[in-house]
Amino acid sequence: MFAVFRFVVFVVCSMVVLTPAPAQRLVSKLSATEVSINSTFAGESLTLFGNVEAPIGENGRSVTGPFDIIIVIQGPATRRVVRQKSPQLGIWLNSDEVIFSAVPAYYHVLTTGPLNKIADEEMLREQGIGLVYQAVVPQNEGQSEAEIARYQNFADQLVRLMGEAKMFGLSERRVSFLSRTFYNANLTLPANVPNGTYLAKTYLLADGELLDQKAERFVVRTTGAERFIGNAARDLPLAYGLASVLIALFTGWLGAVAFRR
Amino acid sequence: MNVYLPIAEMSVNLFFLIGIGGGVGFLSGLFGVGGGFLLTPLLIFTGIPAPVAVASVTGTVVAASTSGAQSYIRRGGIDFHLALYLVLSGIIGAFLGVATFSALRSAGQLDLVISVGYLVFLGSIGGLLVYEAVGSLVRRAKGNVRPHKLPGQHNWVHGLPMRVRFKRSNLYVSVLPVLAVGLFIGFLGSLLGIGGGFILVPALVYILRVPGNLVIGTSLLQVLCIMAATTVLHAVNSQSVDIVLAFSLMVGGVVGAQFGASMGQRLRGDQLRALLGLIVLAVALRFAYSLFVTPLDPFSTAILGVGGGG
Repeated sequence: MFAVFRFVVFVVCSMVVLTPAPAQRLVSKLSATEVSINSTFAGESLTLFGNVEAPIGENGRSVTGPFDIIIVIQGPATRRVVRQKSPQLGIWLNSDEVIFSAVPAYYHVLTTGPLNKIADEEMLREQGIGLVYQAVVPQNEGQSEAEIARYQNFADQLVRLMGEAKMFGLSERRVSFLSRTFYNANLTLPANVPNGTYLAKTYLLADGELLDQKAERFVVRTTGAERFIGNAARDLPLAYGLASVLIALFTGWLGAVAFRR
Repeated sequence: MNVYLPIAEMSVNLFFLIGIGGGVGFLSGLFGVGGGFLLTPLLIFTGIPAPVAVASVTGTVVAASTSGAQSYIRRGGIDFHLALYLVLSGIIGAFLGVATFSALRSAGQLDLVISVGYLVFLGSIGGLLVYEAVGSLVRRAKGNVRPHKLPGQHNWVHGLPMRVRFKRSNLYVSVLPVLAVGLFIGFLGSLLGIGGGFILVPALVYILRVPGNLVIGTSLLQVLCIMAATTVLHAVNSQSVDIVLAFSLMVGGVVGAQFGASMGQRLRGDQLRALLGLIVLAVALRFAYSLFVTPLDPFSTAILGVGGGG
């Protein structure tokens, strides 16, 4: 009986001690929840904005700065292969490859300042923020040192290649505070951004301390004729192929008739 | 003005596509070839994924050869009996080619095989064309123009069994070389995204001894049928036919071919062949460069599919 009482007291005490002091809250919003790719799509600009609010039950005066914001925009996960060419009998050919099973199709980090200044290494690793955490090295039982090094090299190359393709990026100081509490950021999605559900995670920090985080979703998808064509090619490949041939025959016939000399 | 290619999943300038379609169409009208062997490399070098480039160009070649075949059908310049044999074996070749294409694609070696294939075939055809044309130009310059030597009536091919009479071509020849030629063109065409006219025409002339007035028409009909079958096979097998890409190219190509054809009538045959040979060799050299010269970036990445956890 006494043991139970002691346990209850312990739990209550630890709850009181562990409950953090009420922190500033984050309110965030996206300028669009759907990005449509149509025939003239040449990339789209997205605005991410929000405000730092006082804890519930307190007035705005308790909101003190300065704050830091990290916004992570992440596309759908894809399976990717990285291949390496090497000369074999004088010919350069793909001779080695590593498959990464969950690489975001798009990954961009926007911040108010240098990423390693506004947050510490440990917090970034815990939250998986940063380009290096996006290429997860395949883990096997009893991996040798050399194998780990090989995987790590391919992972580094993947991050580099995705960066060169403008699909991965880190834009420090792209998020700006317009007032003490109101921030906004612009993101331009490239023209060849892949379809899927995207996640925009916003982290609120002060002095390297994570105060709050919010996540929003938005969808990128092809619409109109492009969507119809893409779906037809996938779902009705035979009809799509026959239709393609008919279009080609007709175009060729029309050309011959129009220019008959 | 950009156009979004739904299968390649990228935006490309529409006028650029119509432009290269028109440019290649001009050359194909000028030389009487399909133009696939120029179009596919151009697309690959501009960043369109190789599988999409190969599969879409097959659709473009269908349009180009339809335009060309029309006038030969009107003039009766086609041996339909011979074309039937070539097409049937060609479709079998196309099946094999598309299956090989898929297997190579998943093994990550498709780009290599395309490069080597282009290097070998374009290199040898281009070399032959230039060699032959330069020889002819030199002879003309020396003033001793030899009468064009007709191909002899018989060679070793005509000694093979299973002979069939092709009345229109005035040929009595074994079907084996006919089927072999058809099979080979079908296989190569579907694997490399070329019509194969520039290989088929010499094969018809020098191996089967088809009369000159039937060669181009019969070749065009065969290319048309094989490329139509290949387009369907690629669409079903790898879903890599981008009709928006193919259509943009064929619009330019059909128009360009008309201008090329009228220009071609003003140039002499050996000059044309020398010019074509040089272009073919240049494309072959470009592939040789990518094979033998140390690449700027030995690493590349490609998407395999939807990702899973871990």
